[in-house]
Amino acid sequence: MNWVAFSVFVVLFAFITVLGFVAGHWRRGDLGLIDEWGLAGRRLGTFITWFLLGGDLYTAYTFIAVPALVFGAGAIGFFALPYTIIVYPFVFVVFPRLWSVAHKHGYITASDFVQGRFDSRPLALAVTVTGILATMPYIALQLVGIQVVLAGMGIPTGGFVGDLPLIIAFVILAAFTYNSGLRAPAVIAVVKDLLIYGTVLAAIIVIPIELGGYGKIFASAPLSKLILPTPPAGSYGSYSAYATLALGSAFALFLYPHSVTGVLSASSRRAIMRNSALLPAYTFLLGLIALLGYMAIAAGVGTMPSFAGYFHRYGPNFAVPALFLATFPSWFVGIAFAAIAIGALVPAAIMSIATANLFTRNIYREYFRPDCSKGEETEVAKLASLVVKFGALAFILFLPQKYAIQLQLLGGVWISQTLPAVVLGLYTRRLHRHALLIGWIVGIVVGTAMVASLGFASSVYPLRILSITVPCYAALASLVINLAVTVVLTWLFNLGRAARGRDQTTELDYQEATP
Amino acid sequence: MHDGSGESRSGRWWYALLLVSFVAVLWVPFFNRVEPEIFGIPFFFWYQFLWVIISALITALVYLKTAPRTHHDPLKPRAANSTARTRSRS
Repeated sequence: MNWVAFSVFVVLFAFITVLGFVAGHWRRGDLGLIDEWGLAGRRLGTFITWFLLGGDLYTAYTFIAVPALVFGAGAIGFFALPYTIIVYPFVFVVFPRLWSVAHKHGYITASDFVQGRFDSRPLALAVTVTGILATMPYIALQLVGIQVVLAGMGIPTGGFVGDLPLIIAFVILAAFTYNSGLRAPAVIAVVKDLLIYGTVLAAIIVIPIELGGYGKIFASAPLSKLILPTPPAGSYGSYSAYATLALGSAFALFLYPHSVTGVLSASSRRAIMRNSALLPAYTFLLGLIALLGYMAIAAGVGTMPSFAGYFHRYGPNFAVPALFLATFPSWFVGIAFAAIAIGALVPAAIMSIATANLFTRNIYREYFRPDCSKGEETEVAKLASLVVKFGALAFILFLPQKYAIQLQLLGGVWISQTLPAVVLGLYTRRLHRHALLIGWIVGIVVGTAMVASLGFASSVYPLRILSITVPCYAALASLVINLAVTVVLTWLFNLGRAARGRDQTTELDYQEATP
Repeated sequence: MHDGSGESRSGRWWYALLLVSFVAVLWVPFFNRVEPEIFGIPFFFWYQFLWVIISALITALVYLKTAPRTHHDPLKPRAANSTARTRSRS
């Protein structure tokens, strides 16, 4: 048991617990309103939005899993970089429109928008269910990040006692989210970032010095891990896998409910546009963290006997904790591990709030209590956020971890299928609502079948186009099929003069308000 | 004709610049190589790191060029100015 690291860890954790509760008083609003609890009153400026979205999108799981992928599989893990480069030009163009229309009509979820735009309850329900299902395993995976660092500090794992620290961490998270709403992760995200940036800066300076410089680090990785393998004849191999993983993930990222929550809590569309230019700072950080995977290879942590048990239990996910344990003094290990654990709480809080918003607005109010009061709406959302979190906790405690990982993989495929309704819907209403719904169903079925055919172990499906094999991210391949179905059926539905419903919005609602 | 967004038609051409980043980081064969190295860091890595910065600068440039605050439409000087003022607080 590493007492020094654990003490530092506990002190930092206690600090953010207090902060989480105090956050409710920051820029005080009526927390009995869902806009205030679930979107922090839509008052977050450019600066806080930067921290909030940074903490929201670059999760602890990312910080563990990306270097783990580089450590285990090599350069393909680096697709996280192009992915989080191109997502911002996309966000810059598209999401200010969502912010404006949501601001104008009081939408708090993507489903609210789809309902208002296409006047279709089934389509809005499809978007809601997809959002909830895709987010739940994502929350569960944040716990994996906490689990790994707790184990790294020598806390005995297994049994109820072994699970206790994780349960305590989650009770704390649940309590301050319930109490303070979105303000809690917004404030904690600032502290988390100071810790993460500090840790990573130390890591990329100190570790290369100990290992003899960057040249040595890269030289110690085999060429097969250093760059992508050249595709074999008749296939685009890892090249198309790399590019489609990046493109498909970029399209999916901002469709997730927690991203939408982050976008809508901004105080203006300008705050989102500015952040599209500022958030790449986190991408740079993520790239540096990915390099930790190569440092772990160079340090040889995979063959150190003292870590053998952990690698056996956690796989490559233990690469970064092992690297820190092998190179840093105990007190700094405590800081680094606290950064990872707190980095898990921020997205977990935002994800549970976003899921709660979806459930309350688009299921509870829509189908069960259409005339519920604003106070009741917020109370249900707060309770729903508790249910979601303890559901995720139970998932991790009682089911094998690989299920969470596989479901998260599928979640990316599923959430991509809402792009036609949500993103294209921001620009045009030409696509027919029934066509969008059927396209969504086809996309989900095809995408799931692709991942299933790979034994749920990978999401890169080897498409055969003419005589060439094109390994392609299943989310992107199924999205293309979804779009094709939607376009063809739109034409058919229009031919049959199927009713199109009433559009709540006008083109002006999507643009910057003129004074 | 005011379209309400404060963007002029010529301003929209700036948006085409955003596509450059997509091509630069998705065309894998171009950067999947070890040489030339910088300080022992293979091309594959430093090239993509470099594009993090370039892409952010492009987005910033497009923002500055298309935001109404910097756009001087002789017919709408007051509208543009007051937009900037009401937004600047946030």
